[in-house]
Amino acid sequence: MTKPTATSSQLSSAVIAEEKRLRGTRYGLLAPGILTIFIIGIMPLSIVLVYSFLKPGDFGGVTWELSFEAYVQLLFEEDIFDETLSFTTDYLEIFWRSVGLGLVTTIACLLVGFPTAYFIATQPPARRNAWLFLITIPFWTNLLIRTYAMLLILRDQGMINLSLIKIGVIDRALPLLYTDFAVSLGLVYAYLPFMVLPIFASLEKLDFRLVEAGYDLYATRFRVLKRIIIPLAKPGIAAGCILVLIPSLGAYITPALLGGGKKLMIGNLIELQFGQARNWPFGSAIALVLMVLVMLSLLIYLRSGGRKGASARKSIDLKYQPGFSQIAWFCIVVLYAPIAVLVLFSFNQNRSVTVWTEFSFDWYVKAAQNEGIQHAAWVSLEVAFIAMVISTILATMAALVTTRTPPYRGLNAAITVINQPLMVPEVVTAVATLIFFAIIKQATGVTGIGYLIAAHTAFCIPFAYMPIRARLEDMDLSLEQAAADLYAPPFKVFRRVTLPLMMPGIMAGAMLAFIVSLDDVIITLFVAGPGETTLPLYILGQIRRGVTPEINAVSTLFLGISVILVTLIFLFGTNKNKGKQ
Amino acid sequence: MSDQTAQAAIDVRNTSKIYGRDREHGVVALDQVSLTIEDNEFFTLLGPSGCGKTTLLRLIAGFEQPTHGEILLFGEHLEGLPPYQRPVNTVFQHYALFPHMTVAENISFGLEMLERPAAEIKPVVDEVLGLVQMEHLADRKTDQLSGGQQQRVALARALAPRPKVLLLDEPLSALDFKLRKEMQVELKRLQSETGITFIFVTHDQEEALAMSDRVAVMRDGLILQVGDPSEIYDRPAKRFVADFIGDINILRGSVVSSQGDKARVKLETGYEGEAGLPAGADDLGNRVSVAIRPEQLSFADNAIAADLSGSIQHISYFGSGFDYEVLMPSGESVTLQVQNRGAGQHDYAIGDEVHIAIGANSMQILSD
Amino acid sequence: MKQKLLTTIMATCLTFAMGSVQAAGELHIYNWGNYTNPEMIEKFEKMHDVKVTLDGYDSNETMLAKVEQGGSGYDIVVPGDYMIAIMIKKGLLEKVEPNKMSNFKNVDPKWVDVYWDKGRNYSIPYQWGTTNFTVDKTVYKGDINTLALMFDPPEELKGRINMLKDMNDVINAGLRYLGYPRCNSDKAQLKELNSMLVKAKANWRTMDYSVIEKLTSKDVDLSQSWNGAAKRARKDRPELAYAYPKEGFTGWMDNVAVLKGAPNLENAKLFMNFMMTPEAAAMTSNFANYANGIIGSEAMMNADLTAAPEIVMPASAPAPEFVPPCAQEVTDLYSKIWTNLNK
Repeated sequence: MTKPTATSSQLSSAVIAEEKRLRGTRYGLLAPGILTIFIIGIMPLSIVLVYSFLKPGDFGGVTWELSFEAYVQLLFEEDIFDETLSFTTDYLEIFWRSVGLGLVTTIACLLVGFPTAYFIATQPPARRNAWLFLITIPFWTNLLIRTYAMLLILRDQGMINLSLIKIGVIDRALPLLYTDFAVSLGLVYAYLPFMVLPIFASLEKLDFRLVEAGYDLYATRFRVLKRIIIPLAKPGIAAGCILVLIPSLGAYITPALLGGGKKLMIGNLIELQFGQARNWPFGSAIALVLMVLVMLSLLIYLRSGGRKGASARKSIDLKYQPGFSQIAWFCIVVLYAPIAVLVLFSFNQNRSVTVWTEFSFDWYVKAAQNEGIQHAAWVSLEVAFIAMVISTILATMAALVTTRTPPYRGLNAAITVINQPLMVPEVVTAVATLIFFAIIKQATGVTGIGYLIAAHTAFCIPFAYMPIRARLEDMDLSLEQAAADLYAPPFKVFRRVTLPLMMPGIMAGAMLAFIVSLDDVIITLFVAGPGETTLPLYILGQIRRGVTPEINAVSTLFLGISVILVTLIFLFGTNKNKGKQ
Repeated sequence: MSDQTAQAAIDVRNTSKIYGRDREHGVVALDQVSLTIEDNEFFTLLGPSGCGKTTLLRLIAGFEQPTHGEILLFGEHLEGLPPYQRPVNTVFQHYALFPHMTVAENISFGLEMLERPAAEIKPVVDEVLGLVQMEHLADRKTDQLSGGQQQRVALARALAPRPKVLLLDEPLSALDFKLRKEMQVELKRLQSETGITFIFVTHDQEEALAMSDRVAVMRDGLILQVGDPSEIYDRPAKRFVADFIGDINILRGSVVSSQGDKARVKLETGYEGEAGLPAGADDLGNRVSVAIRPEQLSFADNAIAADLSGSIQHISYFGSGFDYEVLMPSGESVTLQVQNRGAGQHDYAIGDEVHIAIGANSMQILSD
Repeated sequence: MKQKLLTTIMATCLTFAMGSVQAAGELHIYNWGNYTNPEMIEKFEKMHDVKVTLDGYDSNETMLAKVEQGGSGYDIVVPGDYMIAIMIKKGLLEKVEPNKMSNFKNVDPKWVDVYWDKGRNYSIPYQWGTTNFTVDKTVYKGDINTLALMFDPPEELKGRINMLKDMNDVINAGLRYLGYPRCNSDKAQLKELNSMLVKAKANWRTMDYSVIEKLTSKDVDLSQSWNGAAKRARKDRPELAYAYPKEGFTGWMDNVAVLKGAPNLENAKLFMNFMMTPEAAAMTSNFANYANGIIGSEAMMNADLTAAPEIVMPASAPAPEFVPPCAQEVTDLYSKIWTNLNK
């Protein structure tokens, strides 16, 4: 590899200078993102790695003694009777179930998300934005709450069963809840925007003349879709699949709520080890195995040419695909049904979240008096906003270096590092970050909400990075060259050409980051300090002891505010554009 | 810039571009090319795709750096200068117009980047818009324009900053025939009006011959021949050049004697005559290829006046004339091109035995 | 403009990173979610001019993981009995000696010499209760005071059962049903337990902590539950009855304790003393629906609480058993059974 070649000594100094310049920009742009993830993501992980080779401590924690027991335990068990080691399938079964469920979720998200994204991308620009906001608004409401609302719809005495019984289709309640079906539905529901947004960012750039070319060459609607649209939208599809598959692999709150908690997922299994089972090394080992699996699949994706620069130019021409608009509308209905239930029950007079009695504003009054909820809501917004801004900036810089410079050694490594927070189940990141931050806190004496924001920023980066990168990959490189040719130095090229053109990707990325931060439970649970309870944490604390409709009221308010906010941004944005024209 | 003699606009010196690790393991896109382009010249790089013409253009523009060699712009070294510091502009193949800006914004972009005062920019934009006859569309977004209009905007955008050299990367390839013809004239007019050196890249030999002051024919990263259009057409140096530009008959023959740039050749058909000899082709050996343009051949009335003879195999009509393909006893065939003299009549039919005369000074010996 | 925005954001971040200034009179409480009466907190704040922040956790283990690393910033935690034992052993609690505080006289003597904190050198009672199950009497009309309803249910309850998703609660109930001791490392007995649980699981619909909701929504007709939750569920579903199985059951107590290195040690002590007043204890009970261990609080407690069959145990019921934390080898065996049960 390092063999000096005869020609290398004669390389023109311009090539060397150019290479130097590129390397400079590359490091300059990549460094902040990588550094953030390295410090907040990878350092804690090395703690997990070390732990997996130690022995469990008494009542949790670890004993500093080298041991491979944790890894042996994964595949073999000591028989309760004769103490011989034998092969065990318990953990493999749990792994397999999680992977299966993850795949089903991903496929379902793709089946619903692709047509939706396509439909949105083929709308006129103004309506396109409206649709996009329509898709994201439900996600401004906390996931726990929405999952609870789904419970209300699916259960034996829920809306579906009651109405089916009423119209006489069935006479006994269908067991919808506490099934694998319910879990998949919940996961699809939770991760759908992670699929829609990147695909949209990719499709939005699609040159629809290519579609016409397809029809011209005797392709049917379906074949145009299969042979032209889908291959061209590949970067977005791949990004979407990764964003859905990986979090759903580690998911544990949704499966616990909707699945009835009778079956463990990998996430539950890991949580069990850090909790009641008090076996941190084993928990660490499972987490690492999961991480390696995820990393392998990500590498395969990178190898199989996930990055392909397609040059495409814009056209306003629309192409209709049968059924896609229906799917998009269906998507909206599904997304909003739990929200509707939530809003409805926020006006319920009864204390129970399940039985409707009478219309009242009681819970709004209660919420207005509840300092705890208000404070939590405020902390949530604050953390989510700051984390969104920082992570989007870092992700944008990182996306530029991973798409806009010629391939270089370490490119794949850089991409892997950026995606690292995605590859680790949340529980593990949470525990590792907790330990890591505790060390820093004790060493420096600095406390405060900065830690929580830093942790949120780190795991928001990959979510912001994916759609931005998908957008950049689809962008015509010659536009930037044209700008450089017209005397724009790199920064101005970026500001005047690259940035405006990648804006849809950045918006999608920022929204994802915001949602992800707003919904985070587990990492926040471990990292948050005194007085830093976020809304999800507040809700989680209530779940065991019974949720009150106060939460519904707050969520409804949250929803209302976000709708107003988004509408304002939207209107402001269009006006500004009009002014320019 | 002190010397008084006219300086070359572009001086490419022994420049190579290699993609990949080195010559053995990579792709040689440009192979030790040297080229001088004079000021105020309409210069064309002509060749099939993959010949290195676009690479050369991108090296001049600064999008890529040469692996070896150097490029001078009016005597100044370009080495290490990024594209935005080179007084050179490009018209891109697919125009690369900024979709988020209007026509006027696109055109003023370069001037803004050069930090010209706004008061100065406006008249220039108007002037350039006038130059390409696009005044009425100044406030359109670029994706609302037709192909020809986009082409004009791209031209205007590249001309507005008054570059010392304008690079055009196959800018006409996406236009229809009529529009292309129009734009050829337009480009030529713009070049002479502005006095800017144009470097034009194309694979269309007709386009190259019609517009250029000089043409460089390229293949496989090498420049095969540089010359004005008639030199390139009438005195092709290499078999590839002859073949690539226009239609050509190539016949086998042998050199009887040679002197200077002339030689006596004897064709395999038996005909013996004088042919042009390419420079530096002393060691061609005995057996050579001899090129004759189809329009240099004509039908002879009788066998005495004939230089060649054979039977007509195929006739094709193309409006302004006919191509006759004649198979000769040597097994070779030649094509004659004859002007259309009357309303669709032709004098000969397939199968006719015919005699052919070769025009004076029309034979050219080719090297491979 | 962008520059300005960036600066603002940076400044905001910095401000937060520095944390709020430590004013005299702060107290950081880390308690189970929805378990602290805000009126009680308000009263304490007014009494001692202290600003209280309150955060919630969802399990003893989460709390432990968080405070174990140090630097959590909390003063007060409210761990369950076995967790107090663990935390004392790990040296995580400050020995504040509540037994020498002025209000210690109010503590019911039966909660003084407890296994998790003999003589009360570290902690005081917060709330206590039992873990049993509650069942719809109209669905199952027979005798409810037997664990058989969970582990070998009659036809009408099959598929209508929720268990707590709690390894120790399920395994301990199973051991009692089989008549075996707690913290059991006898492999033959555990093997029997394992197969009994696997068989019983087929009849369970869910395993979840959200008991009240499962019962009131009629998703299940029997649920393992804490007594306070059973009482609250009964409010919306009066047919429910809380069982006191003859095989025995778990009792538990959550305790107020002070973390080692608490930033506001003196205020924490004040709070501890305050929590031993009958008023504070009664306020907590009225909010959380469990009994406390403070004498004299009954008078101020809601009538429905002091009369509730879930809170007041019948004389015939066996005494609740407070299960100490088991050794790691036992926990390892338990978690194997638990994983196998949940796979």
